[in-house]
Amino acid sequence: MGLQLCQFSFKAMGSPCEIRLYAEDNAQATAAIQLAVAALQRLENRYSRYLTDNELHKINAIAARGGSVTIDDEFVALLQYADACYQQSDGLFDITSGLLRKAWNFASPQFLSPPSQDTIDELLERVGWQHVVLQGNQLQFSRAGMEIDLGGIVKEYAADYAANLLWEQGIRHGLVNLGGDIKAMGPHPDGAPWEIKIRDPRTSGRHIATLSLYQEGLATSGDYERCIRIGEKRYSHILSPKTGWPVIGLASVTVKAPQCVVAGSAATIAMLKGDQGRHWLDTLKVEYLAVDA
Amino acid sequence: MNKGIALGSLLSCTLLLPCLPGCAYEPVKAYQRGKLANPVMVRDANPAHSAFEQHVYSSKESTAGGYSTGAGGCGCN
Amino acid sequence: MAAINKSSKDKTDALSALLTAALALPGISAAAPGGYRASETLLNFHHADYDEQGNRMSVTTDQAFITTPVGRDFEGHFNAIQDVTSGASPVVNFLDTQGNPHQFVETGASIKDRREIYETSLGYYGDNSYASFGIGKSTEDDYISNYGSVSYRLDLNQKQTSLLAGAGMTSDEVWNSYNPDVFLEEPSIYNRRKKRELMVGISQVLNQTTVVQLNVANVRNSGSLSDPYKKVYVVDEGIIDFRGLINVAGLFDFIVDAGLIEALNRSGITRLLNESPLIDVVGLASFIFGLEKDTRPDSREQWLILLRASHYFEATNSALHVDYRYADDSWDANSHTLELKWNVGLGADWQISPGVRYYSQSSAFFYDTFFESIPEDGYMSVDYRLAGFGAISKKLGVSKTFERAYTFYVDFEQYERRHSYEIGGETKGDAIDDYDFKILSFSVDYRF
Repeated sequence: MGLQLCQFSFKAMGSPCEIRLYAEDNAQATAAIQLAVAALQRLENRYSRYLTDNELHKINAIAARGGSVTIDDEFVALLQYADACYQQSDGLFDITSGLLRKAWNFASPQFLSPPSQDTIDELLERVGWQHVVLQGNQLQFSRAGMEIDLGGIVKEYAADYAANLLWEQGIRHGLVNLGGDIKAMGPHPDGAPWEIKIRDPRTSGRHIATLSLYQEGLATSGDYERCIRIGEKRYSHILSPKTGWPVIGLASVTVKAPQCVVAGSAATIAMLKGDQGRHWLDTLKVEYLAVDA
Repeated sequence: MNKGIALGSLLSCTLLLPCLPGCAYEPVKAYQRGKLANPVMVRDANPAHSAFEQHVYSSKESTAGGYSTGAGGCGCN
Repeated sequence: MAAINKSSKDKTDALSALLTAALALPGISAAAPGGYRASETLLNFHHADYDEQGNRMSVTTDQAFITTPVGRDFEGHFNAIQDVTSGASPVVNFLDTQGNPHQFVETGASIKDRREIYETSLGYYGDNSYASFGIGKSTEDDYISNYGSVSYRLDLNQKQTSLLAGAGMTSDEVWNSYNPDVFLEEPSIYNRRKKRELMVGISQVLNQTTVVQLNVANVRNSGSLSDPYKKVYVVDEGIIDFRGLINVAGLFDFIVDAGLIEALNRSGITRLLNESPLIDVVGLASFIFGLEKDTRPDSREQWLILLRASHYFEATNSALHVDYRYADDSWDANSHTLELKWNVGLGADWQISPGVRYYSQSSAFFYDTFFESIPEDGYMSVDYRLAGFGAISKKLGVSKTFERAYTFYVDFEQYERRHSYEIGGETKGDAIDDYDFKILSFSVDYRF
């Protein structure tokens, strides 16, 4: 039985993506990849915050007004997962904190100085998962002007989802990589793991480490190229829902966990914990790579 | 001989009681089950040893089983 | 700067919480590669030594077990065990001049029994269920047992409640392996017996730290349930009542201690006597001393109830497991079993598990240490396992996992059986059947 390696590169969820897998023949590979890509498109269409006619946008319209809305089971499950992250991070991982980006527009070339505290405080009024009640399929916002952003969950979940679909198609050796959020279905057919090289943030083209993946997920939070300097301090571009300010501490965290979505949220929580991030990851007992800001 | 059944139904009543509506029973959500998933919550991490143990008890005592089905017989004297 | 931290196999609370929540996401739980389902092959080797005090009987067991994922939803298991038993077991109780019973243990011949077991089973993981089917065969010199079982678990209520059901069937062929070199051996008698078991259970997550389980099982045995190796001393069946006349027990103790029986067995005289058409040793023993066959009802039914609770203690990273089992027996050998096991996680993948077990049973209605006369129903046995007694076990287990792949286990148990430990007064039985045993076992798991 000769398995052949197939590679497919595409763009989804705002990132370069790649699926690598071993299949019996081209037909099996093509069918499996088509299914996975279709699923990724569906997830992107539903949960992207850049689209204006999707499920997320509909729910955020209610969030802006306050009140309640009925959501489907998949959305409930994602929110329950977000709730688990919120609980495990003592409120740091908060899917309502995306609003804060309005004050901290890092991407804007005009970004030079921090916003005024008044601006931040005004936004913090409308941030807080504790103001959201999920009961069955009913989602209720007890304040107006809120917003939900699943950015820290959906792409990672999508990698797991796609890997699972490929697994169901009989693929046992492969890897789904959505812009660095990775889920492996199984090692190379000879048993060798997928070697994932982690870039050196300081010297481009160099790698500081290689992580091996068999069936695990791998995700990175933060971007070492996008640290910001305010006064003497270097900040990451991750915003704390408690202070409304970027977090000082780590520039980037890469975590390996059984599921990519878990790796992603663990990485984000570690970033949010700032100086305590490493310690928290140590207690989590996962394999990780952390880079200081 | 019916003692067993009576006691069984009594126990299952107390057991199911927390699930009845109106009681102060909080469903435990998936994410709250981290402690239940701790390795120490696995009673017998080494099934080969516990199977041997049960085999010894069953050959020295008059009662065998009740934990799971499928243990084989033995002619131990 | 950058640092890679190597993880350990233990999942922490926070990680478990996130993984559990992740597995609840649609499309991940269905068939989670690398999730909770076994995605690795597990190989286990187990060795244990069982020793009764006074070298009466010892058992050495070796086991190899493999469990491996098969396809996407199945898991296969294969198990091979070999036991070697040596030593001797009580055959009959004789009386001294005071009328007190004494055990006669056949130690003249070195009994060496080998038991081989092969078992295989296949498990299927559904979205919210697990089903398994297994068969096995156990073979000894004087015994063949074939058995099969099915079991099913259904997870309800977001896996807070699980219902369990199982059924098992065992078909045994049993005979006494006739050894002409052993004194008081009877010629082979070939018999059959059957066992069928039904079990239902429910397990329930009560809160974030507690799980409880209840099982109810019904076990029915039928066929030849008597022990072909055991004899019963019936006073009235002897040619005279030896009590007050001869110390029969002392006589047998003497001929055993003096090595007479062993000498008879070794020299071939026993064989000569056993094979001689002129003398029937067993018949003669029955005629002179009143040694009768172990005779039991040909059916037996037991109801078992098991109540299990497991509670996690955060402060000590430990869990207490409490098991209580009650058995109601149609032979009246009803029993209570209470077992406590405390698993303590010590960090660095070490675990230590102290435990205690208490067992108490009442005597079977046809049990006695000896009989004055043959009971009306004809049932009689002096089998110490049917006596009233209690037993206390103290246990200690230690395990350590290395490199996520290897786990080593050492387990020790000290078991004390006493007639006086029986709960709520003493039913028939005698301190002559008191004994202790020890079990020491080593085990290693390898996952790849």
